Amino acid sequence: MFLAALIACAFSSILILIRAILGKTTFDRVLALNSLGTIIVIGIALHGFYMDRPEFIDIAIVYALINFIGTIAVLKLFSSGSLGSFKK
Amino acid sequence: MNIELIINAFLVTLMLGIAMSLLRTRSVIFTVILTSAYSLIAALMFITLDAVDVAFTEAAVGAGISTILFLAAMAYLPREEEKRINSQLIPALSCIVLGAILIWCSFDLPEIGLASSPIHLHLAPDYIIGSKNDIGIPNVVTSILASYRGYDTFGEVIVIFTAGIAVLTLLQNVKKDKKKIKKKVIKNV
Repeated sequence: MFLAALIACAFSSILILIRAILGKTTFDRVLALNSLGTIIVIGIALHGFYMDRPEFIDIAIVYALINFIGTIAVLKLFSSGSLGSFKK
Repeated sequence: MNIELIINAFLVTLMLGIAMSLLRTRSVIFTVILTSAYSLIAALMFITLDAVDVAFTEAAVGAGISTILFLAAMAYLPREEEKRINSQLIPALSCIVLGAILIWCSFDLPEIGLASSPIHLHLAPDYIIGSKNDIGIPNVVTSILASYRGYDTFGEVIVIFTAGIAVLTLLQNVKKDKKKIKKKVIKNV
């Protein structure tokens, strides 16, 4: 069962990468990166359960947080033009 | 067939695809996004190699912080890279030669995870046997970093702390009104 889920993750990550590489707008690419992060979080959890070491699931949670921060940073850059308060 | 080998081969193929498309693109934001994706996949690969602490660092620094730093720097850059005029033949050739040499050298390396390879025979047994009695921390990596190599870690922390203070001092906005700063300080207190 875990193996089937891992194969599904692999397949969807290929599709996501194709979308990221061909993507027409930047937002396609940002969304692709976010989805790739989610797939990788699921992949870490599944890999842990498949290899009988489910302790790695907290690392998957940290990945989810980092992925979220990265997406927020990209979107903030687009909406305000800079990330810090150095803008004049 | 070995499932771990298949997973590793798949991840390496993904990384290769990302690297190839990184070569082709001229858009700066796309480069940043693809680099972040590359780091995420590299971190997943470290997990399949059982190096969880390295994977943690790769995800936090490679995919998290450095992406944000690149983006912050990108606000001051043009959106597109300039097109290269020079020929890329010589760099490509030197990269291929270097890669071939590295692959050739890798045939002499011991098998991954082999207990009798030289790196596992020098100090590692002492650490593994002694750390429970010497220090009393069950995690060997933590006991090495925090106690056996405590002075090293302490020095690193001092260097990074000093660098952080220096950068903050240099980047401080010196033109601010002193009154405003005073008001802010009072508000914060």
